[in-house]
Amino acid sequence: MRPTRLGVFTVLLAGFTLFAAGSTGNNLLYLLFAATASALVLSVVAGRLNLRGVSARVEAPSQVFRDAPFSARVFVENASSSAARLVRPVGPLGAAAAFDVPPRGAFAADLRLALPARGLNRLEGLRLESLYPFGFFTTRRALPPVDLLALPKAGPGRAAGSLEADPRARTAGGGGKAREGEFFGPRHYDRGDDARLIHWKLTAKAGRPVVAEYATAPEGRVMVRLDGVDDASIERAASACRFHVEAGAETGLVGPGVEVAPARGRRQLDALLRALALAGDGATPRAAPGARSAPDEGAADSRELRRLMLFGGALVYLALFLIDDLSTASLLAFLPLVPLGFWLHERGGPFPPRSVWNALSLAMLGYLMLFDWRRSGVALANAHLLGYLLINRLFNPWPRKELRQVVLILYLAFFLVSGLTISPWYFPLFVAWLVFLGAWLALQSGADPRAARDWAPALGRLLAAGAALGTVLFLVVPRVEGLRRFNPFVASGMDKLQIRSSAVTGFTDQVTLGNFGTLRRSPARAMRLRPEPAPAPGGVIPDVYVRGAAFDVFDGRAWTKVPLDFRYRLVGGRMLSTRGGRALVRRAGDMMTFPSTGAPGPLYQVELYPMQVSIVFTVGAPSEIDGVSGAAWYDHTDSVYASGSFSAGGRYRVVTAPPGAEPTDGAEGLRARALARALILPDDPGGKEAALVARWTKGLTEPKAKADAIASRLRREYAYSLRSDGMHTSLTDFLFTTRRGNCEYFATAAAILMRRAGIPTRLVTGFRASDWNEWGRFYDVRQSEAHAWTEAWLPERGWTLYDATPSESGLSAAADEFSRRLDRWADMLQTRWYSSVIGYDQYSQRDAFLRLSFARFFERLRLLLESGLGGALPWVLGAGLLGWGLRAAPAAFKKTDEYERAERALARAGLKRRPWQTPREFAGDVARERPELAALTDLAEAHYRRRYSGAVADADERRRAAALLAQLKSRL
Amino acid sequence: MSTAKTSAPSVQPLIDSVARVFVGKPDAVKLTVMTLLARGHLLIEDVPGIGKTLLGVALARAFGVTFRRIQFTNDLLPSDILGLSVFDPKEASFDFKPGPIFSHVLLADEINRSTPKTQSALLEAMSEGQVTIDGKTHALPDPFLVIATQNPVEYHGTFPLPEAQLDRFLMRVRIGYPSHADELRILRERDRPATAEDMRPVLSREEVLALQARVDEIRVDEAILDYAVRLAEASRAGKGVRLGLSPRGTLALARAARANAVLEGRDHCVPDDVKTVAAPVAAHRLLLDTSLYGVARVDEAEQAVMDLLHTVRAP
Repeated sequence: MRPTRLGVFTVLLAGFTLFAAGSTGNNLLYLLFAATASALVLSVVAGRLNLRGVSARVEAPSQVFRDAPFSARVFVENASSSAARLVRPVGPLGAAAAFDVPPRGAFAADLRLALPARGLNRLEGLRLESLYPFGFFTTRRALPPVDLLALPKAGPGRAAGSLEADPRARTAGGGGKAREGEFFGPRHYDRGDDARLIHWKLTAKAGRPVVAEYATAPEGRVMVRLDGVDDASIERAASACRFHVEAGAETGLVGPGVEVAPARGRRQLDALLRALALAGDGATPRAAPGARSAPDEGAADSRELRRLMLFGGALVYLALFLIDDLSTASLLAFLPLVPLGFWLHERGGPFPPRSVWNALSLAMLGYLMLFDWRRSGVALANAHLLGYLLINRLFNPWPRKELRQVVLILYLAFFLVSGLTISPWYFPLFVAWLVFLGAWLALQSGADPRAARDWAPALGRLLAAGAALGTVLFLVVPRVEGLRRFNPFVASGMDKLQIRSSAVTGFTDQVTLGNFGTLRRSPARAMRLRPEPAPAPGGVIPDVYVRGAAFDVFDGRAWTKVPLDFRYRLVGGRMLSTRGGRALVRRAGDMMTFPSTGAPGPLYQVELYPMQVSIVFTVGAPSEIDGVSGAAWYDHTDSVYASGSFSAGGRYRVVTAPPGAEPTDGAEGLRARALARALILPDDPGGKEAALVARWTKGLTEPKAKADAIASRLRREYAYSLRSDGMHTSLTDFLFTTRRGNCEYFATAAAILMRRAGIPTRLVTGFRASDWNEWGRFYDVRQSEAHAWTEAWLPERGWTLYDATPSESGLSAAADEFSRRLDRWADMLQTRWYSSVIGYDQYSQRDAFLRLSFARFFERLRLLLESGLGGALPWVLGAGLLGWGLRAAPAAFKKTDEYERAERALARAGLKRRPWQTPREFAGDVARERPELAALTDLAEAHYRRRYSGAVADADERRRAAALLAQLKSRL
Repeated sequence: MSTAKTSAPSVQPLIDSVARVFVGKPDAVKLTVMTLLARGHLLIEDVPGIGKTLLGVALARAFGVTFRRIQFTNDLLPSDILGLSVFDPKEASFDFKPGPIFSHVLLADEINRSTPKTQSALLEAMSEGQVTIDGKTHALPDPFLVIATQNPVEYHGTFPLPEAQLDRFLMRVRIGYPSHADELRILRERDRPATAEDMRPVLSREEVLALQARVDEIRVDEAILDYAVRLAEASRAGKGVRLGLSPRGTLALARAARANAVLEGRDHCVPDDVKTVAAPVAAHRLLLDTSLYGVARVDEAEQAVMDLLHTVRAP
């Protein structure tokens, strides 16, 4: 097994992809690497399996001349139960065309050979090769050495003067062109034949000129005398023999150690040449040069292959749309070029001349180097470059040698897309891309496009195996965070050159409805949240709301916070006034203590990733915070601020305050003012909102009941979406027209509607942590989990959390409209894609393995068995066993007779029946080779009687057969 | 079936009797008898002078039925074979004079020397088993065996049989030159009375009919039929083959295999039967890429069949 050039290149490409993946931590590149690597692994395995049961023998034609190329017949047999594909015999003159050998069948192919030496030649290096399945590796199987006899060259010479010849033979032969004498036969007209010899009747019948040949048989006898046994003399003698035999003379041969009695005819010529071939050292086999692999001429070209590549090009073009930084409009502008290119390739031209392309390439290079690179950043400039290359290739003819180059460019373009996108649409394109590559590789390594129905199922199975292997590879390839340091782009700061044009999800400290347009989800990590004590393993992991900033003033579009000054008491100290609405937190060392009453709640450790905000994230209202350096303040909305932003990240512990307790509880006269402000409403033209609230809270008097009703209505009847039509959707639009939006709309709607119902509310931004990492025992909080919700002030409960946003992944019962349902599915898939593929890193990896651990697996299995499914399992197993039994039964119940057992015993001893042999022929072969095993012949006859005559063997016959079998086995 | 086994006559005397006259080629004799048993017709193709006619005569004599011989020439007319209606002035009516085809064994010597018109008249009679002249249908005798001989097509002055008509022959047989010893024996025994004319019948017509009936009763396993069909399919897909085996060819293959089983005294077919008869039954039905004048050379076609046998899995 050897790698081909394509194979070496693919290995390099896989390495390059892995390096890129490791140094960027991009999981789509890991995905691409897993696919490439699993294709390589499968290629090795499938290649070996492919030639598993293959053997071959060579048959030369009856006459072979020295140095004259001839076609030998290679019979390839396949003993395995699956077809051997793309097999080609290889000899010193190159390879024969590849072919498929059917399962348990055989195939005969012609292989060009030439024998360099006169006499016996030993061909040792013949072999079978296969590029199956993808052309990455050549699997080889050597053939046993063959001895072939090369006759000396017998040129159409004249009788040499030194040879004795009957003079009449020379004059009367005349090349067989005389018109008298016996009719010899018709043959095709050769240049130089006399036109008078043309047989017009036959010519008319055959459709091309035919000459009638007459032979005159001269009376005469020639003895050719061989001077020596060197090749020159032998070839001279051979020419003479041929000349005289063809002239019709009775020809014989004498020489050192050689004597052939004179006779006439072609058979005699054969005998003469054979004698000459074996004369002297011709009788000892000489080694002929071994097999030489055909030079790699590039992909096996075909119309179908080229069409497939155009399809691949279209696929890559589609994939380019996934790069957010490339504008969709400019990509669409290139759309007409695609069918135009297809049309040109189907027609075969006319393509723009090379000089035009040279000039264009130069201009493009200059633009990229001088402007684009600095303006758009490295990644985008690369995208431009590859886009240009794609167009360049689309509008140039593809010579056979450049077919692979074109696919390489396609690969690089797809590689680039993998590096620059996180869209879930990548996945279907990725699957299509793999199918394209699989088909392309199969075709380029020689599969017959017209017989696609034959090999496509095998390719499908390979792709399925590749998917399984690739998934495992993707999961287990270690993710090393430290490697990112080696990323040359990051090291040189070039990644900062990249411009991000559209907004991504993430935490913000201001809330303006419709500010961002469509949001892309960012998988960037925001923090790790470690609850202490951690939830019990196997239990339900609740979502945790990480509180950031709160806002209480809404002007119809944006939420703001207007400072509210108040007097407060420092913990254990004196009364102070706020400055700018901010109250200082009392600290002792690193420990900050908030004024609150009651027993503190659970403790959380927060590991904050770098973030450009100075908000101290808490869970609920804080009671104590440990680890934030410098001063800290809180304001009338109970938000906590540090003195500087966490641009280098941070780590601190938060002790949650008891329910209902707030830092501002102890402030003098603040509550009433804050609640009054939490009831301020924006305009409600037409009173639509008020009407809506009235409808929703009809019959309800309790504030809590009203708030619950509003939140649940919003959850049930409105849809969550990150999409936007580009317009600034207002709250009214959201409530009455689009009925879909992101969490800010839901939180705002809940807050405003509750205010209209008389409940004071404020809007809180933060994170909803839901991704529990079992391995690290922490919540993995990403920017995509940034969230907004509402806090409502309920009498006797204080500030209560209301999250009116419907869950992204669940299907709400009220959302029964089809489109809405589809949207939710899409959102769920998107969430899955981001959390399972894009955000897969070393922690998720270890977490996945931990979850997969055997103890858990068995635990699950036990639960399964105990549950209702457990009752069904025996039935399923039973049905499976029954099905298997029914399928296997005929074979199990079929009586194998003594012959079949003997055949198996012989096969173990190396005597295998060839697929095309009947038992009787096989027995004959065995008896010839190993006469002591002749008993097989009798067994074969008995087998025939039982198998084909329908007769049942009597006890006597069975006893005899058993005795024969025992005898046979003992002699084996 | 067991009764048929005991009561039916043996073929061996017939083979022995013919082989005594037709020296040194037991295989050719066997194939000929096989054709008779399978109710087929035989085409012998070889160079002149190796005893094609003798084989036909010997077979006819050996089972004591009428034997006629027609030497085909290029001026032979269909009526020369089938017969014609002659006006009888006394009776003032047409009187049918049967032609030489009304015999049990008909030797059509050098069939490719006659014009296609005459050839087709004979071949039609062969496949229909009856002759229609002037609106009257005359049944041919039963058993009816045509042994046609022809020179290899590459010889001069011939009208090669088109493949559709070749298909009607069950087998094409090559005889080949006798060995040195056999040729010597032929020369020596020329004087002995063991020539065709002196032979005595060893089987009656009824016995031959019984043998033919036995062919129909031969048990053929599904696996063997499957093998024959796979051979035919492989011939259609084979490399270098322009036209493969027709379904009629597959039928012929199965039938000849049964006849071979009868010949070997069995009441069932084995895979080797198919292999034995494959070359003579299939070779003339193949059209190879290398065929000259639309007909494959004998040895090339037989090689192609051998290649087939070496590629298709045997049961």
